[in-house]
Amino acid sequence: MIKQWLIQIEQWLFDKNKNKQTPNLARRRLFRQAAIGAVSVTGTAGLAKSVVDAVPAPDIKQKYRQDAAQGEVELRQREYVVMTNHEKEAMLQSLIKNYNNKT
Amino acid sequence: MPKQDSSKTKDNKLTTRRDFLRSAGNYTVASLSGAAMLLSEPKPAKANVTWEEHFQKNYRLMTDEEKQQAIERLETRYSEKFGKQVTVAGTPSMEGVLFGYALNIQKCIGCRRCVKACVAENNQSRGDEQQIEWIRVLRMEKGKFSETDRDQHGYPESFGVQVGGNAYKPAGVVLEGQHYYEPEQVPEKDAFYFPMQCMQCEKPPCVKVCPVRTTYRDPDGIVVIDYNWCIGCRMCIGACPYWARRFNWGEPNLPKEEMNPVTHYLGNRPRMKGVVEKCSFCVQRTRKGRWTACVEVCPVGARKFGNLLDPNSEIRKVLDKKKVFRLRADLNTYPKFFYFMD
Repeated sequence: MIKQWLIQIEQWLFDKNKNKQTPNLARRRLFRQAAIGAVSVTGTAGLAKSVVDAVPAPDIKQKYRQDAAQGEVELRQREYVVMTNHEKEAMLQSLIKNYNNKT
Repeated sequence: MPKQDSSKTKDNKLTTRRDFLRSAGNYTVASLSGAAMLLSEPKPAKANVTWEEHFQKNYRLMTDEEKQQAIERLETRYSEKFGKQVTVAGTPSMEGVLFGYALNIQKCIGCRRCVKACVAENNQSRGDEQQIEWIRVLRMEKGKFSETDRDQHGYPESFGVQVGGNAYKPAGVVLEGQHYYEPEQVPEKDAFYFPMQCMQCEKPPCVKVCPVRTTYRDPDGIVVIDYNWCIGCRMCIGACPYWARRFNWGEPNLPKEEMNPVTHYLGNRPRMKGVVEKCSFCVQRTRKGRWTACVEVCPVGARKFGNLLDPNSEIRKVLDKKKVFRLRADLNTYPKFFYFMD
């Protein structure tokens, strides 16, 4: 099989007995379709990437500002109060207990 | 001539070698152009991420060997990118250590040296466009204190209207203040300052909501982020009640000459676009027994840091002796960052 292919390729490349034997049309068509497919996929992907890259970047500064504004609103809802001694002790014991449980 | 013509007819669909070579050449040029466009690098940081990095596991699930490989990959990449020898540590938590932090709001003068030191130490993005700061200092006005609102003595008078309530009027500090202030000099007469950063909660809501478990709490209490696994969903930002997390909307701007080459995988290593970051208690320093950058730089000693499990540590003494604040909202997050007054 491979030998036959090699003979045919040789014949096709070096023009030996070109007129005597017609090339294998099915195989040639397959190669052509494969090549066209590969080129189409690569070309389209490349083109798509170029288009995406060419789109101007959104205003990043504005997005950072929006985040900051959201944070300000968030913090405004918080309120700190003084802890009693009992609360402090309970919190500390809870932290220590949690550490001991996890380790 | 007639023979050649007949070979080109559509009926038998034969091609001459010249035709074939011509079309093959066209295809090659077209595909090479497509490939060139694909491989062009308008976003170099993304393009530099290696294949292995794309497929690496979550840091917590890696074996020691895998961690070492990941660290070496990053060291090589960062060293090339920043033109200096960059080290990425993977130092784990120390045993018997639970970090805690306390800030004296009576002492803080609002100079924001801590903010600048944090930016420099932790490789945060610079510039007007995409500035990221993990610490935010709020400037708040001292209110007019009404004696009738006070039902007991002992509350600090200098903190005015927000402090000293009774059963009908809550006593506390509402976090309503100026986030951007530029006075000629600090401290200002009628203001006090309230620096905010990650509270390293014992029960962190950000960890609970992360869909890919990229953020988690280490045994020493620090809530860390594996930037490689962050998908940029911003769920943690929404969940954090302290607004301690920042998102990289753009590619971070970190000048080569200003980059701190001593980094930690879960801390101050350079981040990428589309990931979340936050204070890590300077994990690259504290796990080696050093102070955080903000503690070190504070000119008035308002910041205290230490081991909550050690009864003789400074942080424990603060908790024992000082007036400590907690968040009124019952969020049950158990923050390990405290505010206190003398």
